[in-house]
Amino acid sequence: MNSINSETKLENMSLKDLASLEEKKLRSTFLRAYKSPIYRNLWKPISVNSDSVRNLADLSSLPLISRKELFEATRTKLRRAACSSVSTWFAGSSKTNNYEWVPYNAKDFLGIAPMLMRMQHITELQDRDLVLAVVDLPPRIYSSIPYLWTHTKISNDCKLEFIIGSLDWYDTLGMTWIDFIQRRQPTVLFSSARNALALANRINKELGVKAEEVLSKTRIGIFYGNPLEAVKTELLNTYSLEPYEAYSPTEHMSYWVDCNHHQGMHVWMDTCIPEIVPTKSEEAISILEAATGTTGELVISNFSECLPLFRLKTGEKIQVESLTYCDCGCTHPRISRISDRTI
Amino acid sequence: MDILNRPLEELAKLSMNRLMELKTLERASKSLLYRDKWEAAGIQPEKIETYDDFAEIPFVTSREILEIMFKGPIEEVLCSDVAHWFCTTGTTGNPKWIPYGRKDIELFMEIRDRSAKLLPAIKGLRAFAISGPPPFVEDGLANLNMIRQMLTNTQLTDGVTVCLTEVEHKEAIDFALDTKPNIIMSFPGFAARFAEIVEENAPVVTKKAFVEHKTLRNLLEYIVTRFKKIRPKDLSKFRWGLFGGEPLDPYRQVLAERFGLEPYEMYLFTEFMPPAMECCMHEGMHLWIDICIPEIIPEEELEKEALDTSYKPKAIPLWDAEECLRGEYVLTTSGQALPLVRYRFGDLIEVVSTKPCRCGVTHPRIKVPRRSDSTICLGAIRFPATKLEEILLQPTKYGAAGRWQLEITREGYRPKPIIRVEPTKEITNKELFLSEISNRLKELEILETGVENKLVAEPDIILEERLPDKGRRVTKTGRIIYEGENN
Repeated sequence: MNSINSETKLENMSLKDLASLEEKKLRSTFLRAYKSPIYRNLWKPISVNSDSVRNLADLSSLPLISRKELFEATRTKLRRAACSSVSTWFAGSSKTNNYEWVPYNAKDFLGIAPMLMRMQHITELQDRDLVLAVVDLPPRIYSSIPYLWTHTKISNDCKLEFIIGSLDWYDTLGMTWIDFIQRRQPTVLFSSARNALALANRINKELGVKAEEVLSKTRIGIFYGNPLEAVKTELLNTYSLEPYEAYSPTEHMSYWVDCNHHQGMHVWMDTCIPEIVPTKSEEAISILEAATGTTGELVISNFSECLPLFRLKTGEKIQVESLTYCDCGCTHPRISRISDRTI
Repeated sequence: MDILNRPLEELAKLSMNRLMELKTLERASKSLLYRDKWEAAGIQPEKIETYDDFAEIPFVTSREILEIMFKGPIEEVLCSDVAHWFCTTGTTGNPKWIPYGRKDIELFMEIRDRSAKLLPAIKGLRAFAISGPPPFVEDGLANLNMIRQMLTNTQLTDGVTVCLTEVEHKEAIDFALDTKPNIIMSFPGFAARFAEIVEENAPVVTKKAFVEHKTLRNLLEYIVTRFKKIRPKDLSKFRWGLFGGEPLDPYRQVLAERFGLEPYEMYLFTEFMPPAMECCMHEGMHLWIDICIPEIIPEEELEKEALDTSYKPKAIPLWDAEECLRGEYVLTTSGQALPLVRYRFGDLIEVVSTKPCRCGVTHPRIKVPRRSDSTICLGAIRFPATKLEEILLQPTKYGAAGRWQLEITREGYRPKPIIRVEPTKEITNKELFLSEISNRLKELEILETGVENKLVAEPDIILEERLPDKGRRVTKTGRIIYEGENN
């Protein structure tokens, strides 16, 4: 596993070096994906062969794939969808309320740990910070994340304390954990924006106060799921904390996150090749080729073992914020999310 | 020699040595949970060398842990940094919060590996797990288990974990079955209910498949479900199942039949995650005595205590206990975040044997038939006897009950409560009296949830002129009779 030092090195690597790192990973990932029925069928009509993708420029020769195409395949032909043996399946959510099943193997799952450490570093969490993680339940991946984060064999540098709670069945089994939260006083809230708002409502309903009165020592909130911008005012009306936005969908758990300069989320280029389909265009271009301020749909290719993404149209509308060095010292480009998935 | 097979005496020594080496008592004595109590009892941790010295330490109860977390500063309760907090359901009162340090998690991982040696091999098998929601310990168990398997490259294939709250969620269940699991891990009650859901849904699913794709195969499958009950074993080749959270015995046969699997039982609790585990002989669960000091307060001692609350019951170390001895489980752990020292669990255990098992493992075997305290246990559904009593004794327009008795029987695999009440004086309208009590019973939310989710059978309420003094007294006016117990 990567240490904090090697993570910092990756955070500060030049874009040129990052591109070369991407290229190395791309070739081997492509060869693995090429053997998978899911991609072979998709690529067959355009005569893609094992030599078709050798460098970053070749990526554009592959077709874009929609969420529907990808996740219908993982649902209906699960055995054939994965590009390596599957350890476990997690479910992401689609707008149609069905699950989008994503296969993981050990390397994919344990590979999330360094990204958590990177997020911990970027958001300036401190030793002995007490994290309240409000999670969605299994088969969602998010309830597994805090355990991965604290596991000593994985994250030696992590000295965080976790209370994990869910708002599902909150009352039914007497799991009224807000009493204990009030007593233990978390310093960090790690939650989807939706769950954070639901928690605030619950606190208001049960205790008749704003969430900031119960979570009075919570100085940082890391919010994933829905775009933060849309709910930021509502969140800050009830919580008194510094909000950070993280982007980490089930199919690409790499925790892009904004730093304390809050000028967009850093897109971790060592974990993926991000592209954008600019508004009013049908062609995707590399994020690195897009002008600052470009808006459009995010397209991701990544290097996962089990289900590598190849030009997945995420359905997320984004804006390219900057391709230059950030004041935090991090070199990875920054984007912001404009709206949630439409599909 | 492997730790699994060392002689009992040696394991007992290891157990006491661990207590000393990890300075458990010295660390615990600084915790608010023990500090004042031990001082009052004249306990000096550094002077404790033998089991007899150790046995002078006063017991600590579940209620004390529950209260201390909401009393003084938590930092003064803790003995180290915390990695995770888990809590009990709170159905027995308020949730009880238990801290785990990183070393506590590591110990769980180590014992998890050891316990896995008692089970059939998992490599390459596909698993389906029904876990509890966080902050329940079952959530931690499922996730830490998965992480450990991944780190040691012993992972299952195509694992799917769903929370028990999603057992009725068709999408999750269909997917889990489509992976053709060979292993199931769950509360036994939830697994039994899951089997019923499969049976109920099979005709609907096959009909839908035929309407959507009119193939001969789909037609045949639909016809079959009209005449034959489809069970999980018809949909996937289950080999074995691991069940915990409530006693397996009442469900063992039904699970074996419906899933076609070999059931294994494990016993763990929020306060101490490393599980006691059944081996392939199925003659009790092996309790790993080298990592803790297990004791038992015999039933006779508990009875003396019930009659005289000032009586201090005596415990016996498990390695000295006779076969078939029943009593309350007492445990001492060397927890990093919070050691438990002579902690009374409130569970009744039965010593199956302290002799080496036929499987070769020397760690003693126990069974856990029920709670030993006043908590009413209907499988995964639990609540304090006092809550039931409040409902039963509240006067109605037609009269009032003065005494009550709860008999827990079974309707199929489901626990079925039969509640008998004895009136204080004449009841003016028996039918309306019982109907009012029955309606009030629905206000006991946890019981109602169990009934609605078909984990517990509908309770019967019976009026009896005179209740016999039968059953274990759990409140001043109430008694419980557990299935198969003639007390």
